[in-house]
Amino acid sequence: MDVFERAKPRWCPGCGDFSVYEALKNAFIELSLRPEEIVIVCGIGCATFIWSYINTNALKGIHGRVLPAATGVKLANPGLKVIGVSGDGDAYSIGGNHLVHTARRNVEITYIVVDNGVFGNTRGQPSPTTPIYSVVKNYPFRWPEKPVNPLLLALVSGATFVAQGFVGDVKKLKEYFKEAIIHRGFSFINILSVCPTFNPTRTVRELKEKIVYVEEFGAPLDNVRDAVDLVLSIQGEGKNPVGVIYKKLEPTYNELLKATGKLDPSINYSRISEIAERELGLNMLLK
Amino acid sequence: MRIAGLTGQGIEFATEVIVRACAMKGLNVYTFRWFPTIVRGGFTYSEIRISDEEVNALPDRIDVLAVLDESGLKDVDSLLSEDSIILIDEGLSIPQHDWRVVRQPLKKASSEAKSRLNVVVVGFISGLLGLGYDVVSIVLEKISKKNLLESNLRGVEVGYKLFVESGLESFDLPSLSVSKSVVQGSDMVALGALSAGCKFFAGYPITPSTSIMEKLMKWLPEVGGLAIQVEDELSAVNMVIGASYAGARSMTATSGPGLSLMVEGIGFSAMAEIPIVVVDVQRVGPSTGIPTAYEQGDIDLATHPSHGDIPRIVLAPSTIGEYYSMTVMAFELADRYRCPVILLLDQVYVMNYFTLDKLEASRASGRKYVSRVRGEGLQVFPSYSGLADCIPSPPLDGFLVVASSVEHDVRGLSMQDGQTHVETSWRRLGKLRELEENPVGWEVLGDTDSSEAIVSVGSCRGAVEEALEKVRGSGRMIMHIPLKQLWPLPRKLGETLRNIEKIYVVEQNASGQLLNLISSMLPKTAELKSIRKFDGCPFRPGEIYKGLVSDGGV
Repeated sequence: MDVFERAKPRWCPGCGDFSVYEALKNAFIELSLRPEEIVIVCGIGCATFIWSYINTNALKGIHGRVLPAATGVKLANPGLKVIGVSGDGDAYSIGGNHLVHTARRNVEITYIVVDNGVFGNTRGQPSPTTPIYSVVKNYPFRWPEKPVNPLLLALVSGATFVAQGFVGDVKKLKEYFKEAIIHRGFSFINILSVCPTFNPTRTVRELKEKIVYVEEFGAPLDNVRDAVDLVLSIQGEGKNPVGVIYKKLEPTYNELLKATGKLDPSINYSRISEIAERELGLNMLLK
Repeated sequence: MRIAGLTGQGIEFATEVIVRACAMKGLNVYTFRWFPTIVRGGFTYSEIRISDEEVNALPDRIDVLAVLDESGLKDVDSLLSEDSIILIDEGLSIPQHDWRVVRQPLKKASSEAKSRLNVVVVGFISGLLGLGYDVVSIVLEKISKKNLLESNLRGVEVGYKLFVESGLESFDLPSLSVSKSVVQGSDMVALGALSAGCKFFAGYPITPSTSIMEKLMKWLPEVGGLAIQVEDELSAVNMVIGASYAGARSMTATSGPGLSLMVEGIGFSAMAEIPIVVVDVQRVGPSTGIPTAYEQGDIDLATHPSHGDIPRIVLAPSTIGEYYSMTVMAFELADRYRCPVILLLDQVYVMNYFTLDKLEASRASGRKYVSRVRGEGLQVFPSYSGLADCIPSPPLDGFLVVASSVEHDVRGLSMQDGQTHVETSWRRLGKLRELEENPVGWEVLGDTDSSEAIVSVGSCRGAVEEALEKVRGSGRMIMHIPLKQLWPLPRKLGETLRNIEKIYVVEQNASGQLLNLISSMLPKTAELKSIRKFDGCPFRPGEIYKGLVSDGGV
């Protein structure tokens, strides 16, 4: 048992979350991070149970609000390594708005989205990444919605690190995690995953056949247009890009807000009375 | 007095000049502004009550009405008498009346002086009130935009001259020795947050709470803190929770529609036992309602803001001074009981101008952190064992900190069994017992051994007190409880009212939310009467007096 094990993970047999767990734990170990300096922020969904199994600080939040909560942690104490974990429902459905805004702020957190194309925790409803025309539970017709494109969404929203992982390649996934965690800025990783229980038609083997490693195309790129082109051209052939697609250094939210240290809790009454005097001509009496 | 016209005519600026001039002379003011959501061309007015004594309510009559547009004569008849002076431009028409109408070439004078109508009116009024041209000039120098200062001074000068030429008698307001400070409730809340050691604020612009955010954006960085504007209220409340978990005393501010969105975060804060302060500046609801107007319609939502059973504290300050002290208190209570505290505020106090002599700083203890512990083998810290009254935040030496929205054990780790839920529910809810017994801000005003009592909330206090003065003149004894801790309800409320025969509940909403809230605490034998109003404007003392002397319900 290593220092990052809190409890034995329990997901359905064959669940992609096991790979994410292994890769993330090993990324922490290989980066020599200490559990005390990591905060895992989770939303709702099967993948987010990861906080119960990996032994770090944890803020288990509510559905869809991983990124605001994680941003709050990072702004209050930039010394912490903040890792957000969501499923595709958490990230792209109920929390979709926050992804856009957190990406464009370039908050220095790592956002891991385990994307299995289904709401597994609620037993099999379609998710925002369910392909159009899929046969879905309880619908008398085929799924009528086009899926969200997480990579393009992150790229055009201003994320400074965009990657896609695959649960069938844990070694590479771990490397993407390591690269994301040390990236100075908002690092986003969508992980192609599976749910054998509620989305059995999507298998690791089927996903593997469609994978194209983007490093063959000179990725990570540092130009959004090139990165968008790369994603679109691979997807246009019915394939899935895997790897670190885009990476660029830009000032982080903390840097731009000059919030580079832990917010100091001390109360400076004379400074406050100066403000009262200057702004309001108000005499603040200190006893 | 009232200045009425259209938005875009600079009535807010005119109000500020008059208020600041009064404050310089040591006079007290109470102000209220009616304004629409349209930025240009909507009916608006400012009311300014001026006195050498403390004033805490709008008046029952208007002595001076300055009209900048014909629409300015709306909604005012009942407040005017034959002694009221109406200042109006000679070009505007005025309906049949018995008021003292003063027609002046205000527009002509302003265009000749290449100035604006509002400052010409200020000039005339400062003569009429006896504020002094020199005092008004000093104020203008202080608050005018640089490029407008010259024309503002010219405008006031010609307005003042018009007054002198009018032959009207001046009110000759006295000058007191010590000048006063002009504050808004938003200043007091922001200063209170600073004094409590608040270091993080996240919010989304919404009338009428935005000014709190704007002030903290400016002031928090000066004390090592940070205030940011985010994408929505869902984000704001969750960000504040994240920052508090990471060790910063944190706050958000919003209004009714935003509070509706923050409900999920308030439940999370209570469940994960992460302290937060949520300011709700109430406005007219439901839904979008009248965003700019005054109402106390969020009492229901603020006191019952979540699914499930959560500990929560709701405070409703009743004076401008309490907007400061109870903000400080909110942070102290949030940390002490590790739960959300909602500050339920009134638009009238937050957005308008008031005068203060000085402000006594409330010393806060600040957050007590878990320190000097040394864990072995990286255990999760037993944050909820009830042993530590300190709040752990990461990184702790040798310990991990877990906070969760899921039902949990004393360490914060998931426990989804019924027995744990029963035990932790009792523990969470039991935290507030102390406040039920010893409420904050408890006050009983007036005649404590009377058989009649008034319970009021928030800014209704001032108008109630003034109505009571008049009632006492006729020898009637009434007790007044301005209720400030709305949740948990103070046990003292029931005890104090035990033998009361007639109870008046004063509040500003349609359904009597305060009455419903406290009804279980009121003696069954007592006769209850609800005095309420919800037309977007604060109570005037006379309206409450009428409720106290008439027999029918209001």
